[in-house]
Amino acid sequence: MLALKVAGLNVYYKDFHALWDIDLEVQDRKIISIIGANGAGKSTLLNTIAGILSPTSGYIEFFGQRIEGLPSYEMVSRGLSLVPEGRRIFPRLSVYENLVIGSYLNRSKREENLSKIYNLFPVLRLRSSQMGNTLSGGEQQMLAIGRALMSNPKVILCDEISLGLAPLIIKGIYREIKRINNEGITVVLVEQDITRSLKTADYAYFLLQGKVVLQGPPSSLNEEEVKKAYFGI
Amino acid sequence: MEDILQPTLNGILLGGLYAIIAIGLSTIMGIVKVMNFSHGDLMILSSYLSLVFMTRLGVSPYITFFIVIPLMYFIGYYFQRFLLNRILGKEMDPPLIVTFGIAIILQNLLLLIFTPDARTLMTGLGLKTIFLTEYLKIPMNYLVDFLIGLGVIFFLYLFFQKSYLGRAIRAAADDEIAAKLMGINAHDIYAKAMGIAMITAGIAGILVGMTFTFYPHTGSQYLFVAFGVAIIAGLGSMRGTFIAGVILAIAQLYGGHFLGPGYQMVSGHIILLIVLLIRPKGIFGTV
Repeated sequence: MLALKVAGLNVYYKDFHALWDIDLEVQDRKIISIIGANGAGKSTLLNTIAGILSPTSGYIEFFGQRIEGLPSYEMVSRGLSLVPEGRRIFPRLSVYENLVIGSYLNRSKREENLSKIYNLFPVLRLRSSQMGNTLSGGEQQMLAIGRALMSNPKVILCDEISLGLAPLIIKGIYREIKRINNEGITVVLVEQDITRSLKTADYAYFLLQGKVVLQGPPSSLNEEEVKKAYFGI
Repeated sequence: MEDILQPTLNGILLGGLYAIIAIGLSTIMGIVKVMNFSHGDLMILSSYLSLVFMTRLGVSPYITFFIVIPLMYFIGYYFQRFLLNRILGKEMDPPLIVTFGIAIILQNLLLLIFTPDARTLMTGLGLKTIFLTEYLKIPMNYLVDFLIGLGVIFFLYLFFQKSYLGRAIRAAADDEIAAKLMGINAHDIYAKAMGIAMITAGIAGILVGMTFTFYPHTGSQYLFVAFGVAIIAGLGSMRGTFIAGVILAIAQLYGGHFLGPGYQMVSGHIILLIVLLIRPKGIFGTV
């Protein structure tokens, strides 16, 4: 079953053509990676899927329903959650409040989800009364993922979750991403880190200058193709 | 010593009223990032609404709280939803011009409907005082203003800290895009925040009407009070707003008491200037 289907997607920033005819499919309960260098259009793609940006043409289907152009708060109610680049933790809300806000549209399962997230990231329970901006980078990333999970999403989009974090922390976070996926949540990862992305994902897309230049299951991609798709040379 | 006690006591009590006059303006400045120049006039609108219900229904001003408060919520909600939300986030100027325009329209509408005559919401409290000593007395209407002001600020604090809507409003104030990613419709939240700000303005308007006389143009006078308190307190602190209300009221009453009535406003301005010079983000400001 397809969780997400993107077809012929074009996105502009005023006159700048950022995404060119993007086609992409995400199978339900899988992990897919969208890989590319800085400025390849990865975040633009995730932000468009999540409803922060509107496409100029093309469409996006979420479990068979058209969702392109819907506002992001509408996406959350349908089961699509984004962990944004830079985490965007609410600095003047406590860790607990940041998590609770994640369940804004799904209040009945708040306590159940909260205890799941505290099990996934026990450090968040210890820090629950601290303000969001007092956490370390790794803890903030855990909080951003936990907050996105509070809405009970079917699909979670993660934008550069390893950015600026120590390798050991990244390893831990990726282990939890696998765990989240094992519980039945589809994961879309956007990354610059090729090795880790390919190791985690069931299927990968490479973006270069706003276009999909390579795709396939990681095991089917050879090093030369990957280098060319990433660097463009 | 006795000379200073009465203006100090009056200042503390009046500070509660000043805080509730300011809290709506300061909340909207902190959350929607809009300076609502029509805050004072919307407040005086509620004084007139109370007057209308009082005379038409023959009820006491206290009963009119129950009619005016919901009415003010809806006025605030739709004012934000259909007017201010459409011009948010573009530049600083359009919301200023719109709220300033609303202030002028409201003043002239009130003038047209109610004439420039002075009005008041009679409660009988204005005549009552509690004598603490021979020289020191508590005016009952000031005491009621203070207690209601304190209660409203405390309730508002609980609302913002403990309720889903309060947290969502704070989240949207922190980061609008992140709030949308949590399923929060930020523009709807802003409208609700303005509705809540107008509830406080509504309460303030009725209290002002019960304590002082008011005219169609009195709104701008209270806009100064609201701005003054917001500047002294800074944004983001309810407790700070309350204390700043007391500081401004005491400054004004000291000026009036020791230098003469003409110096009442001037002494308030001097305190504002001092705070702006020493701590531009306000004494308790976190933003």
